[in-house]
Amino acid sequence: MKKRFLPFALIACLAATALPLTACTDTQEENVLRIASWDEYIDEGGADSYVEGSRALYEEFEDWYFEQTGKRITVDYVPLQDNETMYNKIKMGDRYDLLCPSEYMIMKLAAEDMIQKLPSSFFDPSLDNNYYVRNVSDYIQKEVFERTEMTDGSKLSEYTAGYMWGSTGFVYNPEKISADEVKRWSVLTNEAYVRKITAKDNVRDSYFAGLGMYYEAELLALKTRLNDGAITLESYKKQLSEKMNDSSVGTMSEVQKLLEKMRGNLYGLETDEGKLDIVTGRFDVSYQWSGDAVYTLDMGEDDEITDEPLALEYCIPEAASNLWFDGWVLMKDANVDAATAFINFLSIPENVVRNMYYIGYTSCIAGDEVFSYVEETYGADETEEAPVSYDLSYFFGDGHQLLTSEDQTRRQLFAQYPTRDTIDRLVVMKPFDRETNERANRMWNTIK
Amino acid sequence: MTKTKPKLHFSRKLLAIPYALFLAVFVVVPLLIVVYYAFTSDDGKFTFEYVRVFFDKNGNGLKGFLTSYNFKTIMRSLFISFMSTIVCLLIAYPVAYIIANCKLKNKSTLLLLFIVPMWVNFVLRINALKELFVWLGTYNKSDAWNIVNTIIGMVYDFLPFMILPIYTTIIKIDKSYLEAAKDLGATPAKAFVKVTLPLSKAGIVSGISMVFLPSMTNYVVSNYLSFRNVKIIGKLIDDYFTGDLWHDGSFISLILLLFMFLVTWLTGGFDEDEQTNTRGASLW
Repeated sequence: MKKRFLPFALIACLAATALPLTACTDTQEENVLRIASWDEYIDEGGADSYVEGSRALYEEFEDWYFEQTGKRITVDYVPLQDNETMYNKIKMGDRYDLLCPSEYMIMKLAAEDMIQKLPSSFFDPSLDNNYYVRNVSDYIQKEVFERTEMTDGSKLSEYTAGYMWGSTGFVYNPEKISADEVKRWSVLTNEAYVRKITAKDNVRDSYFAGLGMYYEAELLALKTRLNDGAITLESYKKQLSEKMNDSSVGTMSEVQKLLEKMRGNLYGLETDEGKLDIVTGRFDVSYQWSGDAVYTLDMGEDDEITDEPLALEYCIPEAASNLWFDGWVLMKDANVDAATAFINFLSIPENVVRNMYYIGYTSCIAGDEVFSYVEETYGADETEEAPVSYDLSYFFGDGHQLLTSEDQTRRQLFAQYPTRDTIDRLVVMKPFDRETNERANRMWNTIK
Repeated sequence: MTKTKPKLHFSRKLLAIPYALFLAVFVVVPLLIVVYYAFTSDDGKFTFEYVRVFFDKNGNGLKGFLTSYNFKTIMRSLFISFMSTIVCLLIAYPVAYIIANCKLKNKSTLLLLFIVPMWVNFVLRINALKELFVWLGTYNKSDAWNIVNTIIGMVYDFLPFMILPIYTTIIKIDKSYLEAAKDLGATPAKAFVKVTLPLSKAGIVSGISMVFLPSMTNYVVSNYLSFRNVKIIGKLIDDYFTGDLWHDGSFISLILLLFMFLVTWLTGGFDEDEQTNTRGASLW
C-alpha cells in the first residue's frame, strides 16, 4: 500500500506546483494590463457614477486603448487592502504592471529597486495622448514631486504620476469644541476631552501625531519667525520636514510617552469606523485623512443618516500636518506603453472629474474642466448673502478664484483644497528604514 | 482489508490520503515556516532576538515581563477566553440537556433554532450586537464594560460550538444506565451527577476546546465590540504582521500555539481512551 501511496502523492504535489505556474504565465501575456490599487478608488460606473450607467473606467480604457493604438488589451484591476498588503504581495512574487501606492511606499519600493522610472516620452507635452503632463497641477508636480528626494538621490517625479492627494487633520463638531483647540496637536492629550477623540490605528499616522505634539511649541515658534520674515519659506519648510521626519531613538522615546498619554485619553483607535460614529455623536473629534473627512462631512448633512443635519468642520493643525498622495508607478518588466496610456487616460479631464465625484478625493490633475467641477460643487449660489473669495491659484494657476460660502472655507472645500498658507505647513512623511520600522512598530504595538 | 479480492488493495486507510496531504500542505508546512521565522533574523541566521524582545524588551528580567504589555495582553486574552468558556458551558449544558431529553419528535428542529444564527454572516451579527450595546449605553463606556461586551460577543458567537458536542454525547447515553441508577435508589439529581454528567464529559471537553481556543484569537469580536480598546493575543499577532515584523509575529504565534497544546493536554485531548469512547462527539 505504501508503494501505491507514493505516486499518488507525487502527482498531487506536481499538480499543486504546476497550477500557480500556469496561472503566472497567463498574466505575463502582453495583452493583459495588471493594475493593483485600492477598493472604490476608480469610477466603477453604474448608478453611483458621475455619468450614470456608464461602465467602469478601467473597462472603458480597453476601448480607448484600441482606438488609439489598434491593440487589444484586457485590464485586470486588483483592489488591495493597504500599502502593506501590496508590499507583501509583491514581495511574495505577485506581478503587476501598474501600482498605486502611497508616497512612503513609493519611496520604499524605489529604494528596494522594485519599480522603474517613467519613460521620458511620458513627460513630452507635445505628444497628443500625454494628458498627464499637460494637466497635472504645477503645485503637485513642481513643488511636491520634484522637490521630494528619494533615497538614491533622484526625484520622486521621475518615478510616479500623481493620482489623489490630500492632508491629514481633525474632523470636529464645532458645537462641542472650538476651532482654536483642534488647531493644536495637544488636543489629543487634553483631559477636558477624555473619550471624545479618535486617532488612527496605524503606526505612521500615530507617530506623526506624536511628533506633532512633541515639536508643537517649537514649530509654532518657527512659524512666527517665518511670519516676521526672520527665515525664508524655503528654510522653514526644510526645518519642518526634518522635525516631522525625526525618528531618532531619543525622540521616539519622548514621543512614546506622549502617545501613551494620548492612548489613555482617546475614545479609541479606528481605521474606518470613525467616519460614521462622529456623525452619530459618539465622539466629537476624529483624526482623519482629508478624503475621508470630505465623506464624513457629507454624511453629516445626509438626512438619511442624521435626523438633524450636523455641520462638522475640518481643521489642519497649525504647527504642521501630513501631506499624503497616492501615485501610479511602473513595476519592473511592466507593459510600459499600456501602463502609461492608462495613467494618461485617467488624466483626461472628464475622467478626472468622474473619479473625483466617485471617490470623493482630490485629484492631482488641475485644468479648467476640473476647476469648473469644483466651482459647480462648492461655488456660492445666487442666494448666498456674503460669498467669500477662495484662492486656488496655487493649484489651478493664476486667476483661479472661487466665490463660495463662508463655511466652506472650513468644510469640504477646505478639506479638498487647503489654502496656500496651510499647504506650506504640510510635510511629506518619508518611509521608515528597516531598523526604524521595527523600533516604531514595537513601540506602537505596546501602546495601542 | 478485503481478503476475498486480493487484487484490489483499496482499504479505508487510503481515504485518509487527501486529508494527510491537506494536513501536510496547510498545517505542517506553514507551522514550520512560522518556527523558521520566529528563530531567524532577516538574513536567515539563527537568533533568539525575538524571544528576548517578547519577554524582556527593556532588559528588566522577569519583573519587567510581568508588568509588560505583552504579559497583560496574554492575561487579558486568557481571562476573556476563560470567562467566555464558562458562560458558554453554563448556558449550553442545560440547553443541550433539555433538547436531548425532551419528548418532542423532532429534536433536530429544536436544535436548529440554536444553529440558525450561524447562517447569518458573523460580522453582520457582531455589528448588530454592537448597535444593541450602543442602544443600551454600555458600548465603550469604560474598560470594564468593553471586556464584558467582548465576552458577551464571544459567547454569542461560539455558543453553538458548545451546545452541539454536549448534545451529541447526551443523546447517545444509554437510557438503561439511568433506569439502573433509579432502580438502585438514586434520586434524579444523583443519577444526573453520577451517570449523565460523567458520560457527557467527552462532549464538555470537546466544547471547551471549541470555545476556549478561538476566543483567544477572534479579534474581530473584540475590535468591533470595544472600539479596538480590548486587545487580545490574536490582534497582537496581526499588528506585528501588518507592521512588517514577521519574526516578532511568528514568535507570538508560537506562544499562542503553546497555549493550544496546554489546553488540549489539560482537557485530555491527547488521551487515547477518551478518543475511542467519543468518536461521534469529538467530531464537533
